[in-house]
Amino acid sequence: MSTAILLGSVWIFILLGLFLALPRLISRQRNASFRLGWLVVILVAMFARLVPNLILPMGSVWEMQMYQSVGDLVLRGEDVYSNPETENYHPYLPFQMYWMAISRWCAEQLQLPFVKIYRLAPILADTAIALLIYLNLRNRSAGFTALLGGLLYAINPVTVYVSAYQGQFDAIPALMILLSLQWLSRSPSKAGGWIGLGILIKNWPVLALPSLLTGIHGVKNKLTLLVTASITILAGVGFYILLFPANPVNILIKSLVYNQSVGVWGFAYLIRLPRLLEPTLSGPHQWLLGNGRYITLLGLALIFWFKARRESPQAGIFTILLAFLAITHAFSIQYLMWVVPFAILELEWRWLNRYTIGAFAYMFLTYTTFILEPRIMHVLPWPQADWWIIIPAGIPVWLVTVGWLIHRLRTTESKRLAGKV
Amino acid sequence: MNSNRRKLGRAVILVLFLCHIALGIYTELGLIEINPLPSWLMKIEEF
Repeated sequence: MSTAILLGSVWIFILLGLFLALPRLISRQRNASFRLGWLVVILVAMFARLVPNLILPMGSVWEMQMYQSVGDLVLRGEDVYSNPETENYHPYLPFQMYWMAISRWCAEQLQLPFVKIYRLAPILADTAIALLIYLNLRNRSAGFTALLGGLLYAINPVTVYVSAYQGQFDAIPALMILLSLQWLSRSPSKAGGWIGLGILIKNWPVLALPSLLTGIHGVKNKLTLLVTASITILAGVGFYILLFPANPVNILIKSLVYNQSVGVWGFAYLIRLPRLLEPTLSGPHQWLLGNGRYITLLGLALIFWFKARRESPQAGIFTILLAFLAITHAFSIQYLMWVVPFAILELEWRWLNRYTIGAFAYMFLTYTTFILEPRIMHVLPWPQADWWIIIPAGIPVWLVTVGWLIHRLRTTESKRLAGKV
Repeated sequence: MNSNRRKLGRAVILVLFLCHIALGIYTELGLIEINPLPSWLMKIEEF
């Protein structure tokens, strides 16, 4: 075990302990005034992430290589989407790649590891999310609840793992969804702009769009949100085409027709399992590879129609993101952070505790032995290590998402809130 | 009855959690190696 991994492991355990003990730790301050609560939240969120960013000279080995290659191409003025070197390295619309290029340039100028600079963007986004959670909760509940909510996000080990260890940037689109929610009732155009930017950065904020649309009144307002979101996305693609010799159809195909990592999580693994034990039993998994996305979309559509559209936009977005984790056919470990900010805003803290424990166990094993340092191959060769150790380690947290979703589908929003605030 | 079920649930969660952590630490320290590999682990997936 390298010193960096050892220190990183100790740090994340400290955060898990603090996260679980936090309500008890600060309950004595229940009646105190929290005038500088926002500053405490910012400082704690930054500190919790900058320490591992300093300690760990590595992020996700594979992803950081991809991002560096994309950054190099952008700096050279070449099209990322058509270059064979980076063909599947950037399955997103063109925006995040500029930060990859800036990080690459800064790393060379400052003689620092690329990953330490690259991770600063999701770390800042996480800090902004913690602050937004604090401000949002302060407007509708006691100062104590707001501080607790902000700090729960600030030290949540799932979000720290994704941003400050792995270097994935899902915190940035999550922030965009929260900003869109923030502006939803006041300015549909600004809400549209933020969600458009979120989709430009990564595709998954599109899951929030239906709840945002049902959350505003009037066809004109809904259209304004849709049009501004579309203009933002088109502006991003147009800007890229102006700068680089790119084909817009190719950009859309590479960004939107992404169907990787099928059968590594949840029910899809259970369907894949017979094939792993006996290669001749490949039929169900083969079918899932071609049709899994339709199952996921159908499931999400049903849950939206029967549940999420009747909830507030914030609650609806959370229900859909949770449903995605419970029923998705395709998965990457960083998806685990999506639900955390919305769970805190929805005051679903008891389920969040169970989820964090399950996710932590899975992430500790996966980050320590595979993502940061691929040592798991010493136990078993690849891909057997993936099939029999890494993927099954995610089953407990997947079961938590299924239980959480069932609980959410059974309870109404007013009942949930009545028991909490 | 409920109290017993809750205790059992917590015990299962604790055991699962510790298994994950122990496997992570043992792997990192290079203390585990499955060798020779059982044949059922070595099925090759064909795409």
